[in-house]
Amino acid sequence: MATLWRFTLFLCMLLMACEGLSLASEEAKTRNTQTETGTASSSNTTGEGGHGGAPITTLPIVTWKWDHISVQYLVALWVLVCWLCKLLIEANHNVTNYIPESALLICSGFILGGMIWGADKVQTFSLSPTVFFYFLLPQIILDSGYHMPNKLFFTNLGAILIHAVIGTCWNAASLGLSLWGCHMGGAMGDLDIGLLQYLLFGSLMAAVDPVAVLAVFDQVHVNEVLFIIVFGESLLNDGVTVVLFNVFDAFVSLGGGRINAAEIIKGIVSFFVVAFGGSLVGIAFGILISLLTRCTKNIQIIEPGFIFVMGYLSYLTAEMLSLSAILSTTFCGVLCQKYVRANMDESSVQTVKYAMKVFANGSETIIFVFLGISAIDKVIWVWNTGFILLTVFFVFVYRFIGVFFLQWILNRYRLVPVELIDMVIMSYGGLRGAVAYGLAVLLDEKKIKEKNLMICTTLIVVYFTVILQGITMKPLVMWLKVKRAAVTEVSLLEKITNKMFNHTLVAIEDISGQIGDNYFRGKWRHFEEKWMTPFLMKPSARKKQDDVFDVFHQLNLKDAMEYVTEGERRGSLEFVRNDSAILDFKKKLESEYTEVMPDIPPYMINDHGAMFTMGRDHIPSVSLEMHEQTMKAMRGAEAVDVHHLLDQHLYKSRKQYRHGFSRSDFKINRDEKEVQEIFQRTMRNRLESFKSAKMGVSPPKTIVKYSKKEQQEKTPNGKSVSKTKLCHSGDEDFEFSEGDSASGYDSSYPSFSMRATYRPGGGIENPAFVPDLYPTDLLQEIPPWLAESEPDSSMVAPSLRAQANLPNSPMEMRRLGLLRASTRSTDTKQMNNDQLPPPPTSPPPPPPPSGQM
Amino acid sequence: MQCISFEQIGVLHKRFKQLSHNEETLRRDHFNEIDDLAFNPIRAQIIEAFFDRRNFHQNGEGKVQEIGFEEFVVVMSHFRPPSAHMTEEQRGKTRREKLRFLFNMHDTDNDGIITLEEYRHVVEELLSRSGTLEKETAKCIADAAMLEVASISVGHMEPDEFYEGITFEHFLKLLERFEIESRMIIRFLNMDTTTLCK
Repeated sequence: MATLWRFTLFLCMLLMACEGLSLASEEAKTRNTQTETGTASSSNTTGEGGHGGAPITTLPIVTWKWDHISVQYLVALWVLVCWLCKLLIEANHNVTNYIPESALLICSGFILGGMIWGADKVQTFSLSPTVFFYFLLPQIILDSGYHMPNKLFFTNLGAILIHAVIGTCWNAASLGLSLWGCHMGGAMGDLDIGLLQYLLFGSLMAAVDPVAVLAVFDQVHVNEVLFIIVFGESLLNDGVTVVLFNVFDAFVSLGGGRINAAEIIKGIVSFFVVAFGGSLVGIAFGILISLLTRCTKNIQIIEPGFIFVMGYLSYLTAEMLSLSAILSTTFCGVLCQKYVRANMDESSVQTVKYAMKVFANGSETIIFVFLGISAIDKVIWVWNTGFILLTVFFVFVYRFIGVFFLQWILNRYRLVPVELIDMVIMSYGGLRGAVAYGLAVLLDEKKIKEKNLMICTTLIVVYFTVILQGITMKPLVMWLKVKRAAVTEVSLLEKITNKMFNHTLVAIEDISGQIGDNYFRGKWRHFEEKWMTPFLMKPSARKKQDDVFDVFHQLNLKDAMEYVTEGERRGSLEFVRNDSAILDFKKKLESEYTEVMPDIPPYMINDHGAMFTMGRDHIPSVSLEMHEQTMKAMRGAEAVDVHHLLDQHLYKSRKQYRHGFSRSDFKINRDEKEVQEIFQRTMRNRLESFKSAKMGVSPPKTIVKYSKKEQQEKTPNGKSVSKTKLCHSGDEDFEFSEGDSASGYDSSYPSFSMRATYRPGGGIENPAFVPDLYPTDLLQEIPPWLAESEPDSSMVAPSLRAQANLPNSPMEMRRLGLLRASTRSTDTKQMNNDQLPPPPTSPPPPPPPSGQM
Repeated sequence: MQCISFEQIGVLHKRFKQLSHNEETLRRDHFNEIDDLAFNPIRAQIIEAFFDRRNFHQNGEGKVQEIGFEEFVVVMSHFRPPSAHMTEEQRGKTRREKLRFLFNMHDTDNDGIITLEEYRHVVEELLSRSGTLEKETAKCIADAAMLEVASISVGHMEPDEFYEGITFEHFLKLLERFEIESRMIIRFLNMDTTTLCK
């Protein structure tokens, strides 16, 4: 209760602020009609500022310019208020557990509306169809299309279409006719509504609303077939609704007398045109998006924006051609999702995903709140008990009848019939929402005298379905024991088996010589692989499209992230490489290697490099875990390695903050002065630490030579030389790490801990990324044979071997290792290992780990 | 348990005759002649499944060179839909049977264990045929999957332990969420008339 009070109080205050502002605006100028929509577009009001006011006598320092920004300000404020409502609602979970969020949002809309009414005595803000259809709905539809589970959707497309087309027509016709019948029977008293108007009303009430359905079903987690049928229906029936609405609207304008067979046929034709035309527009835009994302590599930052802009354009284009906009956007999202995900950069894909959710969830919130606010308006409340109650009753009953009948027919053709309980939920999930309300507001008052009654009835039906059915949905699902969705954490094995299984089904169908669902799916997949994919997907991305690879990739990412967290938790700087553990591990590997593949000639096993590259595939699969100590040590070593990989990236991103002004170029620091400044500072650090490190042990010759050469190259004219290097490496700090690393090398393993003592200003306290880059450079500068013939090379070996070990790390690292393998680095590595003769005493020289060669 | 109806058997028999060119038995080349099958990455496994004694009856073993109509139908019957009213026990049984079929496709040497080699082979066929994934990647994926299996089914392993491969029990457990009884289903009635005319 306390929370509730706080909530109200808070909203009161917010509204006072809002009201104060809006009242002020009224005093200043006549209110622009557009502001009444609350979230109105900024088209008209912006230009009408107060510039043409009275001539000023003196220069004002500060002026009150509310009129300039009133619309934009109110829009922003309302968005804020709506989202704060959501915040407050989500704050107490014991309420949202029982009552769905959408219902609560509508209720908070009531409260807000009440406050506005109290202040203004007139409903200033309400949901206008323009705002709803052009600014709030598109992103929700795009989101649901883009995140549509494609396979599930297309498997059940038949059922979805039947429900969407026939079900919706049935709902519209039955509701309209029954109401008319009741009217004739005298159940509603004196109303000026004819048969056509009733049918028009029926058609706007018929459509199940995607926003409401998604909001309620999202929280219930019913099984996926049930969900996709209801949700798919709600998306696809838009085409039907739009057509029915337009047709009956036209019929009402024409008047009953002039409707003949030709007009009716035109209506039926227009249905097909609108539905298929809309879908085609969507498909065209989907292909366009896919093609566009093929070539956005150079403008990665705004890459995600294309999806939104094109998605919106597909909506508007369909609307412009008077086709079904919802169908268009849905199919656009469904089609492009696969290609977009493959073509774009990983971070862009994530951005699209999250931004999509932000927009969709945000506007969903706004829609529900405004549905609540719109109710508090004396004008629209025209009460007619008979009409309203009968509508609610018919909507509910006919939905049940329609769903049961259609599903009963469909079940005869389904191999796995939809159960009776599921049908109940399907019927019960026929929620009406903002689409119906938006259409009702669109009605022409001149033609339909009882428009307000219709709006009022629509609102009541919406509240009835969203609030009452929404609240009771969850208990009902529990009580009926509806099969719930399994918690899916897909394992690789499942994914592979699934893929194999699908192929098996297609094959068996082929063998038994028949056309089934799988037959078409197989053919489609073949067609897609042959034509669509090469056309719409970047060549480099094609391998990523495989869903198995995708899971694999996800697991890799997860692993890598776990490693960083784990490392950081332990204090990443304290990883100590344990030499004996590695040796131990190697021995084990050798024995197992022969065990698993006895046909491999023994010389290959002696060749450590080859063994490691090939062995990587074995270790994880054969011996799951080494003894504890080994494991720990290995994990430390791995963590260091992984740390490398990741910290390089993390490190880069830190750079971003340093010069965040640039909108596009965040990778390279081009500010010369800054570079010089950093260079000088870090250089000094480096030199000092280098000296101190050098004092301890005498480093191997090559290394010294090398580092000296580097130093000479840089220190005298470092200011100019370093520049190019920085640009190419993208990280000025590591260029100087040569000094430390060289010192690190001679002292071999303990070097990690030693480096850890450097001052943070040096920018290199993370040991992780040093060796990774180092040998790459090293290899470039020093030919491998030179390094090997060097008598001291055994000193270098351990850390180098560790380097060789890097991608091959065992255990959990296997996936990470593979990730690299997949990006051609293995090839280079393997090549290297083949080319280089095995060193006589020590493990092999380092193959370059990353693709810099 | 729902059986295959006479009508379905009739349809299948027609198909059988067509595939075998009106002979009494089917051989592997007959299967290789099916055009639609040519694109299938796991064609070899599927065809082998038809000649695998394990799929004919429970304790069968080894391969055969040709199959008669009876065997053909028995293999096909692994894909029949479950009946609407099944007890939990029956459901479990169907599930086992269907998964056994899949398992046998992996376990080529019939030792009751899918070893890494066997698994790798399947995954390679499955993934690298399409040309989008290199063999190396496919191999790694197989390994990663195997390791995952090991960690799920065995949990902690002693250092000297060796995970031999997936046993059928593990296979059952791993694919618990895989609703195979409602998915491994094919309708044998509506024949593709075009293939019949060929």
